[in-house]
Amino acid sequence: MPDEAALLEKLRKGDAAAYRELVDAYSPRVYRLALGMLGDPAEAEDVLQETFLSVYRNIGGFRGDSGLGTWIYRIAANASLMRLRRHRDTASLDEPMDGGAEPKIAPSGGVSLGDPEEAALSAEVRQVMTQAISALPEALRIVFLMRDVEDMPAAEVAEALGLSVAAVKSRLHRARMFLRDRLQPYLVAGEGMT
Amino acid sequence: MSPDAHCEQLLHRICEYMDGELDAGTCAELEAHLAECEDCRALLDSLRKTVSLYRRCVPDDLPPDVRARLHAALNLDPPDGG
Repeated sequence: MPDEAALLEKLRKGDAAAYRELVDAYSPRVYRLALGMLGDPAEAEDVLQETFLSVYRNIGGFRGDSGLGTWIYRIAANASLMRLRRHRDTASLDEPMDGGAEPKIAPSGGVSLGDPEEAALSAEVRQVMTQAISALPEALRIVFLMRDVEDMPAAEVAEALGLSVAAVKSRLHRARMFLRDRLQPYLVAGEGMT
Repeated sequence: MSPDAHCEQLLHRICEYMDGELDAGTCAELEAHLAECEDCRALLDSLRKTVSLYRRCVPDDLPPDVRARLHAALNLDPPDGG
């Protein structure tokens, strides 16, 4: 946001236009995060609405210790994790769980993504990617989504999730390796690729 | 140090390298290793492609119907005067 302090002041005064500005600025990112975490558009939409209702209700108590975006992401992350816990009662930000059963999709052999910037994403590859990220342990998944998809700095991810920067980096490394391993058949392998 | 041990040691820094977060000395050490080690170059390349693919797989914008329902739920749209 270009002038967060001014926006925050307006929000605290109940300025409807400022609230709309905030919602429009952050809603795509909140939706992407929730969709990535939950893998279900309807549930992601519920989290999106819950997040901004919570922002509206609690903006008066927001002290500004963290950035507004970090605070919003924290609300969205918690809402997503709460839903996952309700579904499976296994998620934890503190103790990453091992991935469950891995999705098995046999590569068609006809898909090659040597240059991801050029290649069109086939439905098959999208399905593999969706399943791979769903198989990623939740504590790693949320770090990957915030850091690599939303491009948040590691320190901001750490603050949003209540983790150390070192823990964020460690989880990001594990997440990338996990996803890379599952996507490997769809990448053009160089000689001697491990 | 054997080549494999060196790979193992640097593997843990490869994500920081991708993100430009290594100090100059470690960065130079890793780049020197990458220049010699095809396996590590391939690993780095595949990690970059993986991240790039995931970034391309997510929507840039909120779907219009989702946005409309969000605005309705939050009473953000002005009353329809017309």
